[in-house]
Amino acid sequence: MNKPDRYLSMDRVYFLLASISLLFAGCEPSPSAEELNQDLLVQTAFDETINFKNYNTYSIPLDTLGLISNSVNDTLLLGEYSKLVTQRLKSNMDSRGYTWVEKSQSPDLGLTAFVVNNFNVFQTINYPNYYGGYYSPYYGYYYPVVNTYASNSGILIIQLVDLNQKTSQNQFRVIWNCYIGDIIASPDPAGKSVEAVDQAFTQTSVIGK
Amino acid sequence: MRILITIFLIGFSKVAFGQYFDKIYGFSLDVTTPLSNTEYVDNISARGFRFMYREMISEKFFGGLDLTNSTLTEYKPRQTYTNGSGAITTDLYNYTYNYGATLTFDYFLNTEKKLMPYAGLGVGASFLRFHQYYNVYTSQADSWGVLIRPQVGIFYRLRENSSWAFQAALHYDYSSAKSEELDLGALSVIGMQVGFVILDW
Repeated sequence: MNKPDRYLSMDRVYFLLASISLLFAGCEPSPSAEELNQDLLVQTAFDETINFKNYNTYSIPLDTLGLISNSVNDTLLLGEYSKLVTQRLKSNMDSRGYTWVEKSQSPDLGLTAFVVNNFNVFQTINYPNYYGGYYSPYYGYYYPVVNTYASNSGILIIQLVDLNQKTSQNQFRVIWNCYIGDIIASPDPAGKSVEAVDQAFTQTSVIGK
Repeated sequence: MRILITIFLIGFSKVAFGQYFDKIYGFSLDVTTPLSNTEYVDNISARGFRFMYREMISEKFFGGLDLTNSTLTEYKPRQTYTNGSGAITTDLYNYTYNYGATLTFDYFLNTEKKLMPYAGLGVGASFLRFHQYYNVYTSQADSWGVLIRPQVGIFYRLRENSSWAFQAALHYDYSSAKSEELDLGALSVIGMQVGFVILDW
Protein backbone atom coordinates (compact mmCIF):
# COMPACT_ATOMS: atom_id res chain seq x y z
CA MET A 1 0.00 0.00 0.00
CA ASN A 2 1.27 3.49 -0.83
CA LYS A 3 2.15 5.72 2.03
CA PRO A 4 0.57 9.20 2.02
CA ASP A 5 2.68 11.87 0.29
CA ARG A 6 5.44 9.37 -0.01
CA TYR A 7 8.08 10.44 -2.51
CA LEU A 8 9.90 8.11 -4.75
CA SER A 9 13.18 6.89 -3.37
CA MET A 10 15.11 8.49 -6.25
CA ASP A 11 13.67 11.87 -5.27
CA ARG A 12 15.05 11.31 -1.82
CA VAL A 13 18.45 10.51 -3.26
CA TYR A 14 18.37 13.64 -5.40
CA PHE A 15 17.40 15.66 -2.35
CA LEU A 16 20.33 14.31 -0.39
CA LEU A 17 22.76 14.89 -3.25
CA ALA A 18 21.47 18.43 -3.79
CA SER A 19 21.76 19.18 -0.08
CA ILE A 20 25.29 17.93 0.21
CA SER A 21 26.30 19.69 -3.03
CA LEU A 22 24.91 22.98 -1.74
CA LEU A 23 26.60 22.41 1.58
CA PHE A 24 30.01 22.06 0.07
CA ALA A 25 29.59 24.41 -2.90
CA GLY A 26 29.24 27.37 -0.59
CA CYS A 27 31.87 26.24 1.87
CA GLU A 28 34.63 28.76 1.46
CA PRO A 29 33.65 32.00 -0.22
CA SER A 30 36.41 34.58 -0.37
CA PRO A 31 36.63 38.28 -1.20
CA SER A 32 36.93 39.20 -4.86
CA ALA A 33 40.18 40.39 -6.41
CA GLU A 34 38.53 43.74 -7.07
CA GLU A 35 37.79 44.16 -3.37
CA LEU A 36 41.23 43.02 -2.28
CA ASN A 37 43.25 45.18 -4.66
CA GLN A 38 41.60 48.52 -4.01
CA ASP A 39 44.59 49.76 -2.00
CA LEU A 40 48.19 48.68 -1.67
CA LEU A 41 49.60 47.16 1.47
CA VAL A 42 52.30 49.31 3.09
CA GLN A 43 54.72 47.70 5.52
CA THR A 44 57.58 49.60 7.15
CA ALA A 45 60.26 48.99 9.77
CA PHE A 46 63.00 51.27 11.04
CA ASP A 47 66.18 50.75 13.03
CA GLU A 48 65.39 51.80 16.59
CA THR A 49 69.04 52.53 17.38
CA ILE A 50 69.20 55.31 14.82
CA ASN A 51 68.56 58.97 15.46
CA PHE A 52 67.23 60.20 12.12
CA LYS A 53 67.80 63.81 13.14
CA ASN A 54 71.54 63.30 12.76
CA TYR A 55 71.39 63.25 8.95
CA ASN A 56 71.26 66.25 6.66
CA THR A 57 71.53 65.19 3.03
CA TYR A 58 70.29 62.36 0.88
CA SER A 59 70.40 61.20 -2.71
CA ILE A 60 68.05 59.29 -4.99
CA PRO A 61 67.96 58.91 -8.80
CA LEU A 62 64.93 60.93 -9.90
CA ASP A 63 63.70 58.95 -12.89
CA THR A 64 64.80 55.36 -12.36
CA LEU A 65 63.82 52.41 -10.23
CA GLY A 66 65.75 49.20 -9.82
CA LEU A 67 64.18 46.03 -11.17
CA ILE A 68 64.61 42.47 -9.99
CA SER A 69 62.56 40.11 -12.13
CA ASN A 70 62.49 36.49 -13.10
CA SER A 71 60.65 37.28 -16.34
CA VAL A 72 62.88 39.99 -17.90
CA ASN A 73 66.63 40.62 -17.87
CA ASP A 74 66.44 44.39 -17.37
CA THR A 75 67.74 45.70 -14.07
CA LEU A 76 66.35 49.20 -14.38
CA LEU A 77 62.77 50.35 -14.66
CA LEU A 78 62.31 53.63 -16.52
CA GLY A 79 59.24 55.57 -17.56
CA GLU A 80 56.38 57.45 -16.02
CA TYR A 81 55.90 55.07 -13.09
CA SER A 82 59.53 55.45 -12.00
CA LYS A 83 59.38 59.23 -12.27
CA LEU A 84 56.19 59.48 -10.23
CA VAL A 85 57.50 57.23 -7.47
CA THR A 86 60.97 58.77 -7.17
CA GLN A 87 59.61 62.32 -7.29
CA ARG A 88 57.19 61.44 -4.52
CA LEU A 89 59.97 59.96 -2.44
CA LYS A 90 61.95 63.15 -2.91
CA SER A 91 59.05 65.39 -1.93
CA ASN A 92 58.51 63.37 1.26
CA MET A 93 62.20 63.50 2.20
CA ASP A 94 62.29 67.24 1.45
CA SER A 95 59.25 67.81 3.64
CA ARG A 96 61.00 66.01 6.50
CA GLY A 97 63.84 68.53 6.35
CA TYR A 98 66.50 66.64 4.40
CA THR A 99 68.36 68.13 1.45
CA TRP A 100 68.68 66.31 -1.85
CA VAL A 101 72.18 66.28 -3.32
CA GLU A 102 73.86 64.50 -6.20
CA LYS A 103 75.36 61.14 -5.45
CA SER A 104 78.81 62.60 -6.09
CA GLN A 105 78.30 65.14 -3.27
CA SER A 106 78.70 62.54 -0.49
CA PRO A 107 75.14 62.42 0.87
CA ASP A 108 74.48 61.12 4.40
CA LEU A 109 71.61 58.95 3.29
CA GLY A 110 70.91 56.89 0.20
CA LEU A 111 67.31 56.27 -0.79
CA THR A 112 66.91 53.26 -3.06
CA ALA A 113 63.73 52.02 -4.62
CA PHE A 114 63.27 48.93 -6.72
CA VAL A 115 60.53 46.67 -7.99
CA VAL A 116 60.67 42.95 -7.41
CA ASN A 117 58.59 41.19 -10.03
CA ASN A 118 58.00 37.51 -9.63
CA PHE A 119 56.26 35.68 -12.46
CA ASN A 120 55.49 31.99 -12.07
CA VAL A 121 53.67 29.41 -14.11
CA PHE A 122 52.31 26.30 -12.45
CA GLN A 123 51.01 23.22 -14.16
CA THR A 124 49.03 20.37 -12.74
CA ILE A 125 48.26 17.14 -14.54
CA ASN A 126 45.12 15.17 -13.79
CA TYR A 127 44.48 11.65 -14.99
CA PRO A 128 40.74 10.99 -15.21
CA ASN A 129 39.66 7.51 -14.22
CA TYR A 130 43.10 6.68 -12.96
CA TYR A 131 42.54 4.51 -9.94
CA GLY A 132 45.14 3.10 -7.62
CA GLY A 133 47.88 3.01 -10.20
CA TYR A 134 45.89 1.14 -12.86
CA TYR A 135 43.96 2.30 -15.88
CA SER A 136 40.49 0.94 -15.89
CA PRO A 137 40.31 -1.50 -18.85
CA TYR A 138 36.56 -1.12 -19.06
CA TYR A 139 36.64 2.61 -19.78
CA GLY A 140 39.76 2.51 -21.86
CA TYR A 141 42.59 5.00 -21.85
CA TYR A 142 42.02 8.63 -20.95
CA TYR A 143 44.41 11.41 -21.89
CA PRO A 144 45.63 13.46 -18.95
CA VAL A 145 44.19 16.94 -18.46
CA VAL A 146 46.80 19.69 -18.02
CA ASN A 147 45.79 22.82 -16.15
CA THR A 148 48.03 25.87 -16.30
CA TYR A 149 47.98 28.62 -13.68
CA ALA A 150 49.95 31.84 -13.84
CA SER A 151 50.80 34.05 -10.93
CA ASN A 152 52.39 37.45 -11.20
CA SER A 153 53.22 39.65 -8.28
CA GLY A 154 55.16 42.85 -7.83
CA ILE A 155 56.48 44.60 -4.77
CA LEU A 156 57.94 48.09 -4.59
CA ILE A 157 60.76 48.05 -2.04
CA ILE A 158 62.20 51.24 -0.63
CA GLN A 159 65.28 51.33 1.56
CA LEU A 160 66.99 54.14 3.38
CA VAL A 161 70.68 53.41 3.93
CA ASP A 162 73.23 55.19 6.09
CA LEU A 163 76.03 56.11 3.70
CA ASN A 164 78.26 57.19 6.59
CA GLN A 165 78.47 53.63 7.90
CA LYS A 166 80.18 51.25 5.54
CA THR A 167 81.31 47.76 6.42
CA SER A 168 84.59 46.23 5.33
CA GLN A 169 82.65 44.36 2.62
CA ASN A 170 81.52 47.70 1.21
CA GLN A 171 77.97 47.26 2.52
CA PHE A 172 75.84 50.00 3.96
CA ARG A 173 73.52 49.83 6.92
CA VAL A 174 69.82 49.80 6.06
CA ILE A 175 68.00 51.99 8.59
CA TRP A 176 64.51 51.93 7.08
CA ASN A 177 62.68 49.36 4.97
CA CYS A 178 59.40 49.70 3.16
CA TYR A 179 57.41 47.10 1.21
CA ILE A 180 54.50 48.17 -0.97
CA GLY A 181 52.40 45.58 -2.77
CA ASP A 182 50.94 44.24 -4.84
CA ILE A 183 51.56 46.71 -7.64
CA ILE A 184 50.87 44.21 -10.44
CA ALA A 185 47.35 43.39 -9.27
CA SER A 186 46.46 47.02 -8.57
CA PRO A 187 44.01 48.63 -11.02
CA ASP A 188 45.99 51.91 -10.69
CA PRO A 189 49.62 51.01 -9.95
CA ALA A 190 51.02 54.53 -10.36
CA GLY A 191 48.38 56.43 -8.44
CA LYS A 192 48.19 53.87 -5.65
CA SER A 193 51.98 53.63 -5.40
CA VAL A 194 52.24 57.39 -4.92
CA GLU A 195 49.58 57.19 -2.19
CA ALA A 196 51.45 54.28 -0.62
CA VAL A 197 54.75 56.20 -0.59
CA ASP A 198 53.01 59.00 1.32
CA GLN A 199 51.56 56.43 3.72
CA ALA A 200 54.99 54.87 4.27
CA PHE A 201 56.32 58.20 5.54
CA THR A 202 53.14 58.92 7.50
CA GLN A 203 53.53 55.70 9.48
CA THR A 204 57.24 56.36 10.10
CA SER A 205 57.17 59.63 11.96
CA VAL A 206 60.74 59.20 13.25
CA ILE A 207 62.15 60.07 9.82
CA GLY A 208 62.87 63.79 9.87
CA LYS A 209 65.14 66.50 11.08
CA MET B 1 -9.54 -16.26 4.80
CA ARG B 2 -6.71 -16.04 7.29
CA ILE B 3 -4.53 -14.52 4.56
CA LEU B 4 -7.18 -11.92 3.71
CA ILE B 5 -7.52 -10.94 7.36
CA THR B 6 -3.75 -10.62 7.64
CA ILE B 7 -3.57 -8.43 4.52
CA PHE B 8 -6.42 -6.29 5.86
CA LEU B 9 -4.73 -5.83 9.23
CA ILE B 10 -1.41 -4.91 7.64
CA GLY B 11 -3.13 -2.43 5.36
CA PHE B 12 -5.15 -0.95 8.19
CA SER B 13 -2.15 -0.56 10.39
CA LYS B 14 -0.29 1.35 7.65
CA VAL B 15 -3.20 3.72 7.11
CA ALA B 16 -3.69 4.22 10.83
CA PHE B 17 -0.02 4.84 11.58
CA GLY B 18 0.87 6.40 8.25
CA GLN B 19 1.70 9.78 9.84
CA TYR B 20 4.45 8.30 12.01
CA PHE B 21 8.02 8.37 10.87
CA ASP B 22 11.25 6.79 11.98
CA LYS B 23 13.78 8.68 9.86
CA ILE B 24 14.29 12.36 9.23
CA TYR B 25 16.35 14.00 6.48
CA GLY B 26 16.64 17.74 6.55
CA PHE B 27 18.32 20.68 4.94
CA SER B 28 18.29 24.20 6.30
CA LEU B 29 19.92 27.54 5.86
CA ASP B 30 21.71 28.78 8.94
CA VAL B 31 21.97 32.42 9.98
CA THR B 32 24.60 32.87 12.67
CA THR B 33 26.29 35.57 14.66
CA PRO B 34 29.39 35.17 16.84
CA LEU B 35 29.34 35.77 20.59
CA SER B 36 33.12 35.49 21.03
CA ASN B 37 36.16 36.66 19.06
CA THR B 38 34.02 39.62 18.08
CA GLU B 39 37.08 41.80 17.55
CA TYR B 40 37.87 39.46 14.65
CA VAL B 41 34.37 38.98 13.23
CA ASP B 42 31.24 40.59 14.64
CA ASN B 43 28.76 40.35 11.78
CA ILE B 44 25.61 38.32 11.27
CA SER B 45 26.16 35.81 8.49
CA ALA B 46 23.58 34.09 6.31
CA ARG B 47 26.24 31.91 4.70
CA GLY B 48 25.45 28.73 6.54
CA PHE B 49 23.90 25.34 5.86
CA ARG B 50 22.96 22.28 7.83
CA PHE B 51 22.27 18.77 6.69
CA MET B 52 20.59 16.53 9.27
CA TYR B 53 19.77 12.87 9.52
CA ARG B 54 17.86 11.25 12.38
CA GLU B 55 16.63 7.79 13.23
CA MET B 56 13.95 7.02 15.76
CA ILE B 57 15.20 5.63 19.06
CA SER B 58 11.79 5.73 20.76
CA GLU B 59 8.51 7.32 19.77
CA LYS B 60 9.61 10.86 20.68
CA PHE B 61 13.35 10.46 20.84
CA PHE B 62 15.52 10.60 17.74
CA GLY B 63 19.27 10.46 17.23
CA GLY B 64 21.51 11.04 14.27
CA LEU B 65 24.04 13.21 12.51
CA ASP B 66 24.31 16.93 11.77
CA LEU B 67 26.76 18.27 9.20
CA THR B 68 27.11 22.03 9.25
CA ASN B 69 29.01 24.72 7.45
CA SER B 70 28.97 28.45 7.97
CA THR B 71 31.18 31.35 7.04
CA LEU B 72 31.57 34.38 9.26
CA THR B 73 33.02 37.46 7.59
CA GLU B 74 33.94 41.00 8.45
CA TYR B 75 35.64 43.78 6.55
CA LYS B 76 38.06 45.92 8.56
CA PRO B 77 38.66 49.23 6.77
CA ARG B 78 42.18 50.32 5.97
CA GLN B 79 44.16 51.27 9.06
CA THR B 80 47.70 51.18 10.41
CA TYR B 81 48.78 48.49 12.85
CA THR B 82 52.03 49.16 14.72
CA ASN B 83 54.34 46.77 16.49
CA GLY B 84 57.46 48.33 17.97
CA SER B 85 59.43 49.88 15.11
CA GLY B 86 57.27 48.17 12.51
CA ALA B 87 53.96 49.24 11.02
CA ILE B 88 51.62 47.87 8.42
CA THR B 89 48.75 49.64 6.70
CA THR B 90 46.07 47.62 5.01
CA ASP B 91 42.42 46.76 4.99
CA LEU B 92 41.50 43.28 6.20
CA TYR B 93 38.91 40.73 5.21
CA ASN B 94 38.52 38.45 8.22
CA TYR B 95 36.89 35.11 7.45
CA THR B 96 36.07 32.14 9.66
CA TYR B 97 35.09 28.97 7.81
CA ASN B 98 33.23 26.82 10.29
CA TYR B 99 32.65 23.09 9.75
CA GLY B 100 30.88 20.86 12.23
CA ALA B 101 29.87 17.23 12.55
CA THR B 102 27.82 16.27 15.58
CA LEU B 103 26.04 13.26 16.95
CA THR B 104 22.70 14.83 17.84
CA PHE B 105 19.73 13.68 19.90
CA ASP B 106 16.35 15.40 19.74
CA TYR B 107 13.30 14.96 21.97
CA PHE B 108 9.95 15.77 20.33
CA LEU B 109 6.92 16.82 22.36
CA ASN B 110 4.83 14.95 19.81
CA THR B 111 5.42 13.26 16.48
CA GLU B 112 1.90 13.05 15.07
CA LYS B 113 0.58 16.62 14.95
CA LYS B 114 1.15 19.35 12.42
CA LEU B 115 3.32 21.29 14.84
CA MET B 116 6.11 19.28 16.44
CA PRO B 117 8.35 21.18 18.87
CA TYR B 118 11.62 19.60 19.86
CA ALA B 119 14.77 20.21 21.88
CA GLY B 120 18.10 18.57 21.31
CA LEU B 121 21.79 18.41 21.99
CA GLY B 122 24.63 17.72 19.58
CA VAL B 123 28.21 16.83 20.48
CA GLY B 124 30.95 16.32 17.96
CA ALA B 125 33.92 17.79 16.15
CA SER B 126 34.53 21.30 14.92
CA PHE B 127 37.01 22.39 12.29
CA LEU B 128 37.65 26.11 11.98
CA ARG B 129 39.68 27.78 9.26
CA PHE B 130 40.61 31.37 10.04
CA HIS B 131 41.60 33.29 6.93
CA GLN B 132 42.71 36.89 6.96
CA TYR B 133 42.84 38.32 3.43
CA TYR B 134 44.77 41.54 2.74
CA ASN B 135 45.61 42.61 -0.79
CA VAL B 136 47.01 39.49 -2.52
CA TYR B 137 48.24 38.04 0.76
CA THR B 138 46.59 35.68 3.25
CA SER B 139 47.24 34.71 6.85
CA GLN B 140 45.69 31.40 7.70
CA ALA B 141 45.23 29.17 10.73
CA ASP B 142 43.34 25.88 10.98
CA SER B 143 42.09 24.40 14.22
CA TRP B 144 40.17 21.37 15.43
CA GLY B 145 38.03 21.31 18.55
CA VAL B 146 35.03 19.86 20.33
CA LEU B 147 31.66 21.17 19.26
CA ILE B 148 28.65 21.31 21.60
CA ARG B 149 25.32 22.44 20.21
CA PRO B 150 22.10 22.71 22.26
CA GLN B 151 19.09 23.54 20.11
CA VAL B 152 15.31 24.00 20.14
CA GLY B 153 13.03 24.02 17.14
CA ILE B 154 9.80 23.08 15.46
CA PHE B 155 8.66 21.00 12.53
CA TYR B 156 5.49 22.24 10.88
CA ARG B 157 3.53 20.04 8.47
CA LEU B 158 0.83 21.48 6.24
CA ARG B 159 -1.13 18.22 6.72
CA GLU B 160 -0.84 15.81 9.59
CA ASN B 161 0.07 12.92 7.30
CA SER B 162 2.50 14.88 5.15
CA SER B 163 5.97 13.46 4.73
CA TRP B 164 7.38 16.98 4.37
CA ALA B 165 7.64 19.63 7.02
CA PHE B 166 9.07 23.07 7.41
CA GLN B 167 11.68 23.44 10.07
CA ALA B 168 12.85 26.37 12.20
CA ALA B 169 15.38 26.09 15.00
CA LEU B 170 17.53 28.18 17.30
CA HIS B 171 20.91 26.86 18.31
CA TYR B 172 23.95 27.80 20.32
CA ASP B 173 27.34 26.45 19.24
CA TYR B 174 30.42 26.24 21.38
CA SER B 175 33.62 25.19 19.63
CA SER B 176 36.85 24.74 21.56
CA ALA B 177 38.90 25.31 18.37
CA LYS B 178 41.29 28.24 18.80
CA SER B 179 44.08 30.04 16.97
CA GLU B 180 47.18 31.15 18.81
CA GLU B 181 48.60 32.68 15.61
CA LEU B 182 45.67 35.08 15.32
CA ASP B 183 45.13 35.31 19.10
CA LEU B 184 41.60 33.90 18.88
CA GLY B 185 39.94 31.92 21.64
CA ALA B 186 37.13 29.37 21.63
CA LEU B 187 34.30 30.30 19.28
CA SER B 188 30.69 30.49 20.35
CA VAL B 189 27.85 31.50 18.06
CA ILE B 190 24.07 31.62 18.12
CA GLY B 191 22.08 30.87 15.04
CA MET B 192 18.71 30.35 13.48
CA GLN B 193 18.00 27.63 10.97
CA VAL B 194 15.17 27.64 8.48
CA GLY B 195 14.57 24.78 6.10
CA PHE B 196 12.60 21.65 5.44
CA VAL B 197 12.69 18.02 6.40
CA ILE B 198 11.58 14.74 4.90
CA LEU B 199 9.83 12.47 7.38
CA ASP B 200 10.49 8.94 6.28
CA TRP B 201 9.31 5.56 7.51
